[in-house]
Parts: sequence; structure tokens; C-alpha cells
Amino acid sequence: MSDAYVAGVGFHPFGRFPEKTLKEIAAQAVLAALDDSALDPDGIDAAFCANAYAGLLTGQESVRGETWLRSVGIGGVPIINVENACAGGGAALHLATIAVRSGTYRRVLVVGAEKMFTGDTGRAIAALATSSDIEVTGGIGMQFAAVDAIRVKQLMAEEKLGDDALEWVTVKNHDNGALNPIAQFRKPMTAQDVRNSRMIAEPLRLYMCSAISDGAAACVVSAEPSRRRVRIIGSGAACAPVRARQGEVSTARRAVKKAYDDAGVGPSDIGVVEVHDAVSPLELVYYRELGFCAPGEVGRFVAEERTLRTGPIPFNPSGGINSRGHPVGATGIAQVCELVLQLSGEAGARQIAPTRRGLALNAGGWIGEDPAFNAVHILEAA
Amino acid sequence: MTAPMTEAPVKTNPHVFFAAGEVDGAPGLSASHCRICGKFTLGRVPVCSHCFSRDVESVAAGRRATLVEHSVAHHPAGGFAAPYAIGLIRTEEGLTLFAPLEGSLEGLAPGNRLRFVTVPRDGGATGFAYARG
Repeated sequence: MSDAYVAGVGFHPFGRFPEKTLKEIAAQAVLAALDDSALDPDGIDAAFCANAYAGLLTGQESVRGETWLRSVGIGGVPIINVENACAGGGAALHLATIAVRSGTYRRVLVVGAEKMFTGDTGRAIAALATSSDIEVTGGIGMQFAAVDAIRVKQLMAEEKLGDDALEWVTVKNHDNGALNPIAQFRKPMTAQDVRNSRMIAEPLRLYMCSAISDGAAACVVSAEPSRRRVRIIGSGAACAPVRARQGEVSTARRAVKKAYDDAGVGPSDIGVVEVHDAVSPLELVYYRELGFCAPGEVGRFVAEERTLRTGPIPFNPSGGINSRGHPVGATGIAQVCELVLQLSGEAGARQIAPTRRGLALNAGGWIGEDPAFNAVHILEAA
Repeated sequence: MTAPMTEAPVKTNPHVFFAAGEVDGAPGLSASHCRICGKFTLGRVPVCSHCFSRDVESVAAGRRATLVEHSVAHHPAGGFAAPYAIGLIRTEEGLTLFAPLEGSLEGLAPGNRLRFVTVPRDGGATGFAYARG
């Protein structure tokens, strides 16, 4: 089996770009990743392209990746479109890792892009709501903010957390995002700002919720190390369990166990984490789910501010989804690109203390009682 | 499966619930009852999710439930005017799902006893919800 390295990374900034097409947004990230990998378009053996909502929001179905990559001169190679709600990027990276490790391809482009800003927030929210079983969730007023709010309320009850914990993690991640040049929101905020923002779905307030975003992220997964020598040592994925038969082990716990087992490491070996905080307090859920603190200890974890950018285990140094933005197909790839920059010491003003390993969890959709799909990747700097 | 007794009304979620008169025991959620293990699965499915038996029958279920947790949404979505409550509920048969909550937004709390109700929705459709009591 070959090793799989991340040879180069690239972005199109996250935000609102009404003057640009999805193709243009994707192309900018692809060219940046190719430049960073010192490759021209013919250096790619295959590509996995992630997008969730172009069909609903722009009308472009089926061959999205082919349209993006033709614009930068890539043709003739297998281009595979990947869709898995907000976790399409992580799913694409999982497939690329398998493809390189198997020896089938030596250099695989992974790109995620999304154009969600149409000027009509309601359309985007309606598109997001289709990332569930619409036979069950259609017609009931289902919106992901409410689903996430219920998850957060359950955590607050189990861990005896107050609104101050939700505000703290929101402020923390906006502080990080303010230092990230690709972030949609680059303005620090106070707990009072968060508290004063309008209620979206109790207990979640506006500044705790990710916004509607355009953007793209890309990377090249290669059998050879680049100048950075960052290797993918763990790649795991899982869909929602059938809890009636499979018990209480969540999607996230299943995916992260596979990634830890694949990498041969555990939480104590990880030095930086990017998680899927579609609403910022979901980060608190992952402190437990990924094994960084035991049940009943989330409050202490927060009180000790352990996940600050300057803390012992930084979470979401990029600003997370909440601050960086959430062009959904791009998110899982952007998380891993952030880890690559952090492990390479190239994260600029938001650079954390030197560390060797990072973990990213990308979540998407909802089925039954859990996120529909999770992908977890663990990276290691040589 | 019990044969339909009347013409089905237009429903928001035709695969999730039965309106009154559609099947014996309606109104209620659409579920599959396993003749082997006796347990229930939400919706009409070909295989019991508990034991993989294919000896399942379509039934109405979920007439009583318990509120696990809820949120009050302050942003409209899917034709629901804000504020409205959405709950994670568990029925007496053990089915777990999200459902709209009818009635006052005050006093909703985990453990509330709920009952299945049908409600009028946009366009003359019939929807389902759970109400306390």
C-alpha cells in the first residue's frame, strides 16, 4: 500500500461573490492547489469533486466537476463527482486517500466548491433541508438550526452547561477567524455581542450560526511527499447508525474510531483539531465525541479554555465553519487544508504552537437520530 | 396491511402518517410491525430494522409519545411561520423522530406526554403534529 500525502492546498475565499460563477470559484482554488503542489493540470491522474446544492441553486446537475476542471484545462482523466451533504468534501478526500493508497492513482485532485448565495436566504435554507430524508422531514418545518439546537440543548442538560459556554466558543472561533484571510467573518466579537444577536432556534443566536457562503477549497493527494511532507495517516468514515439495532454509538464516534485505528493513534496524540461547527456550540459536542474529554467534563474543558488557539489542544484555529464560512462542498477539504497549513507552520497570524498531528471531522446531513455521514482525517507532519 | 377505508386526503408526509380513516387505528404514524420480534420501525419498510425479518406488516402507530427535547425556531422555514416549536419525540413503540409541536410554546420540557394530532397546513393539505396531553 502506498502512503498518501497532501502535496498542496488552495482556496477561493469564503463569503458572498454574486459576480462570480461556481466554475470560476472552483477554478481559483484548483489553480492555487496545483501551484502549491508545483504541478500543471496534466500532472493530475484523477479528480474527486464535491458539491451539494448546485443542482437546486444554479441548475447545474450531474457533471459539475467536469465543468469546473475543463475551465482549467483538465480533461481525459477520471473525474468523479461526490455528494454527501455538508460532508461531500470529507467523502471526496476519503475516496482520494483510498485511490492513492491503493496505487491506482499517484496524484489525485480533490476539490469542493459551492455557490449558495443567490440573494434569497430562504432558497438556501430550503436546499440545506433536503439533506435529510425528505419523506420524513419535509412538511414538518425542519431546519438544521433547530435540529442542531436540540442537539445543543441535550448536551447542555447532560453536561450542565449554561449559555456562557455557548458564547465562549463562539467568541473563541471568531477570534480565530479574524486572523484567517479566507474567512467570511473576520471581525472579533464579544460575549455580549453574541448575547445581543437575535434568536434563531433556542438556544442558538444568530452569531452562533454559520452563514450562507460561496467558496472553494482544493488539495492534491499524492503518493509522494511535497516540500511539506504532510501525510494522511488516518481516514475513516461512517453513516448514521440504525440505532434500534446498532445502539448508541454515534456517527462521529464510529468515524473517528476508524480514523484512529487506521492511524494507530488516539486523542492524546493529536495536537490540533478542526470540527464541523455548523453552529458554534456543536464544537462542544465533539470534545466528547472525539475522545478529548470524558462525559461530564465538557464544562471543565471550557472553563480551562483548553481549545483556545494558544491552548493545549486548539480546536478550529481556522475560525471553524461558524466564522470561516460554510460553502458546504468545500468545508471538509478546507478543514484538511487548514491542518496542512498549521502542521507546516504556514498558518500566518493564526499559527498555533508547533505540533505534529491534526484531526478533522466533517459532518453532513441528518438521518434518524444522527448526522447522515461523517468523515474523519488525521494528518501527520514528518 | 389493512385496506384503505376512504380516499386518502392530500397529506404533507404521505409516507409518514395515516390520516383518520385510512387504516385501522389511524390517525397515527406509518410504521412497520415485525411479526417475529414484535418491534416497530418508522415507515413502511421491507425489513425489520431490529432483527432483519421480512415478515413485517404496515400499521398505524405513535398515537402517544414523549418529548425528548425541543427548540423554538424564530426563523420561518418550510411554510411554518415563526415562532414555532419542533421536537425530538419518542413514541410508545420506541420510534424516534422530529415532529412539529402544536399548542403553547410555554412549558415545553423533556418528558412531556404527547399525543398524535392531524392539523391543516398550507394549500389545504393535512399535516401531522404532536400536542401535549
